[in-house]
Amino acid sequence: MNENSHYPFNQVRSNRYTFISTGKRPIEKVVEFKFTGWGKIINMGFGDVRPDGTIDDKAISNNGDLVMVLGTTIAILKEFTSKFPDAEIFFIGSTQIRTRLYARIIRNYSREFAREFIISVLIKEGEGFVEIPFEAKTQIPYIGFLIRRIS
Amino acid sequence: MPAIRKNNAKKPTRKKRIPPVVVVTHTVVESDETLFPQKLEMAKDILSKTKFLPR
Repeated sequence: MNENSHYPFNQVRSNRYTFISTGKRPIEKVVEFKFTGWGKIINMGFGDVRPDGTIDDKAISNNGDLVMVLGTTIAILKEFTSKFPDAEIFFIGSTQIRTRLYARIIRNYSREFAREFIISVLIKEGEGFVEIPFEAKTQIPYIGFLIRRIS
Repeated sequence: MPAIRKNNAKKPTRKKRIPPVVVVTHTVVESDETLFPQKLEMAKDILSKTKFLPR
């Protein structure tokens, strides 16, 4: 992942970053990290900033720059975890389609991610969920993703 | 020459105390707000029902 594969981003708070997606039209995006209260797990939220300042985390903007947007999100995740190396980042898609998209991206970049991060996934088990190590070849419907830096 | 009485000797002057000035340049404690309250709640709910791998 180099500088050409992501947009420049701003840290607007200790746990919040913004950037502008400049695909077909400019769209402001926001990434927020928030402590969940479980161990060292931080939830990562991602969405569009609407013109009125509210947030839309289900927007399908079709701005023609998905790779750049996801590249920027990954760059932000790397930046945040470099500051808080003990943090475990948890994220879920706002829809099942989006969760499947995240799984596909992680699968595609798993070799690169594995150099810096330990990736695990949550899957359904009975009434609850269980964490298992991520394996690129496995095709299981995932509920969420946990990423932490290799210490 | 008249003798200087002890009480008339120059007393050390007291410096006028200036009250401390506090300038707040930034917020140290951030509010508990989140832009993604639904997602955070969903994450907490999922994590509360999760069996984790040993760390």
